[in-house]
Amino acid sequence: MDNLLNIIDACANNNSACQKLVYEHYYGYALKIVFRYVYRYEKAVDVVNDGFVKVFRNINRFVTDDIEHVERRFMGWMKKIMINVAIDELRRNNMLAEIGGIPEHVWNVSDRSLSPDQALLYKELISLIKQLPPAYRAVFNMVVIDGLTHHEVAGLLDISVGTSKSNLSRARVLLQKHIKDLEASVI
Amino acid sequence: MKYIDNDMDELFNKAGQDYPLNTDHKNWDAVYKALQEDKGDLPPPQAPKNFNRYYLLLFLMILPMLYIIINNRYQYTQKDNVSATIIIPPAEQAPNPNPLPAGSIRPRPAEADIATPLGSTNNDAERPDKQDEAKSTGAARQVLPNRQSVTSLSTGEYSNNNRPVEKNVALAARSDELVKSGEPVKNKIFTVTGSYQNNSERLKTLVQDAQTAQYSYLTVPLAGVTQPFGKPAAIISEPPVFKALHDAADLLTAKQKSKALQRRGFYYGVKGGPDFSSIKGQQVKQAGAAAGILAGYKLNNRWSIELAGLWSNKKYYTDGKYFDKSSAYMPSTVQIYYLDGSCDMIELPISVMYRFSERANTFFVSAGLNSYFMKKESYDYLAQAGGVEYRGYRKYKNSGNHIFSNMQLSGGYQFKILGNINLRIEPYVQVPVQKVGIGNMPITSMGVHLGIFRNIR
Repeated sequence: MDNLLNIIDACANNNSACQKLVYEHYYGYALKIVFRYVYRYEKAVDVVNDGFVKVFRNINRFVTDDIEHVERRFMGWMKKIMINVAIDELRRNNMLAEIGGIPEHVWNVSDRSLSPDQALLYKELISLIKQLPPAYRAVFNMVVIDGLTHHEVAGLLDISVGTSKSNLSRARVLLQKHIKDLEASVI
Repeated sequence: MKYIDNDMDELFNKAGQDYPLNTDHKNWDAVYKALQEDKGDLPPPQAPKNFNRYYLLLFLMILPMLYIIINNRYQYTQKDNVSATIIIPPAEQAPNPNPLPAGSIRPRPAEADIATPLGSTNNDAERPDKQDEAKSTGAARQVLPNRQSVTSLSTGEYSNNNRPVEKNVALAARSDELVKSGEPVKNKIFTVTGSYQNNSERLKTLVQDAQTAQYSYLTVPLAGVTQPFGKPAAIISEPPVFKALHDAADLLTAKQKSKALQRRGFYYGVKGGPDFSSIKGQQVKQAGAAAGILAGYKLNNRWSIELAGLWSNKKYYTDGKYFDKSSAYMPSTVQIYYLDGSCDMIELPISVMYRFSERANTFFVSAGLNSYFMKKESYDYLAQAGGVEYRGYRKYKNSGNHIFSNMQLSGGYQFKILGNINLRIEPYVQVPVQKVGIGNMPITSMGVHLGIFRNIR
């Protein structure tokens, strides 16, 4: 993605070749964000596509004066959009927990950028996050992984800052419990 | 516990970023289709919003103009021609025991004594008493054989309050009154509308007629001399009447001239007009506009200093090579073919003006420095990057202030339209002293400003 700024410019002018380039390059990044929030893989794929439509529709609003770190800024901007569309999806389901396991084909444990152990560990950790109730999952994802503040979380989820902190605390407790259970089962 | 939480957070953070997820289910077609449908939902293109702003600017420009015109019109109606009242020496009357010296001033007699106020003559024919007078005119002509010569005064000099069309009617009415038979008009003022100057012989005839008709006073406006309403008229009591009249007129005119010589003071107004801008002499595709207010100070009848504040929109076209991409946050790898630029700015020109004549209607030249305060810049451009050619659009707000960035030279003609109000036509050219805008471009502008301003005395 050399000359990202040029490509963004072209996307803003509805150049579909450049839009496709952006979509294909950042699809994995976006899906990894959304899948942490949305339980079902197929639904997450749809949400990501919706997110990209939103990205391209609003890409002319993306401005940065930090030429050195355009990609970082752009990814950060895109991440916020993806989180928003994922939260919208959770809201559509009234933040209800979903049941059923996650099929194995959604994972790519043969990812060469990770050692097999790491890949398995990360897969298990993400599975644990996905088992959290949606309200806890959303707050944990936003604060711990996506780096949002409690104020931002409160604004996005339309809850109080206290509720956000409380949900995070409960999410941590649940995760620690799950990790202990996991360790116990392995031993 | 906190450490445990921190370690756990770090671990989950890494997992959240790098977890192994199958990302092969891309569906660009679905996204593309959604984007195309989205395009179809777009509302039809509308006229640029800037258009409304220009109307607003025009409206704001008209308001002060209306104020100036109405205000000045009101003051103008408060003025009247200065007139001289001649005391008619009666032919068979005893000498005046208290004659006034020639050229002396004394208050007008009471309104009740004024038989025919100035300017009231046009409707005289409709008045019943005047109809009666008209019936008696035939007899009067026999008494006053010089009546025809009096009537002939209407050939130019007897303008009726600067309304030449009506002057014949006014003079005819005056003559009818003069030849009124049998009615003693002693101690009454007879007022002549129009001017007497350059028609001394005819005025002499008029005086003789008045004398024969036994009028005591004859009021004659002094040509080209105006004075605020309510001031006393010059009253000439001693012969030679005409020399005294001339002297009084000269005296008053000289006073006005001396006032004119000391025309220092402030003036203010509005100006605006089209603006044609170009970069390095390239083509001009569209016209911009500028409008705003001006204020100045006349140092004397020739020189003045002036400051203006204009809201200006400049439109320009340029080849990509004159556009500095680095300051516009564009990577150097982008190759811009050309740009159509538009910028909204506040212009603050400060200039020195020289008038070629001391009169109100004169040619002038002006030179000064102009500062640009950029409010908004937008660029439509055609560019190429990474082998992809595309049309781009960028907008920048408050992109910079450029103090004394242009030299403004102008010249034109100004003329008085009403009282203190002057109109000015001012072609100008703005030569760049430094590069301006987000793209650091040398913008040369030219156009014509139409201005209206009012002197504060």
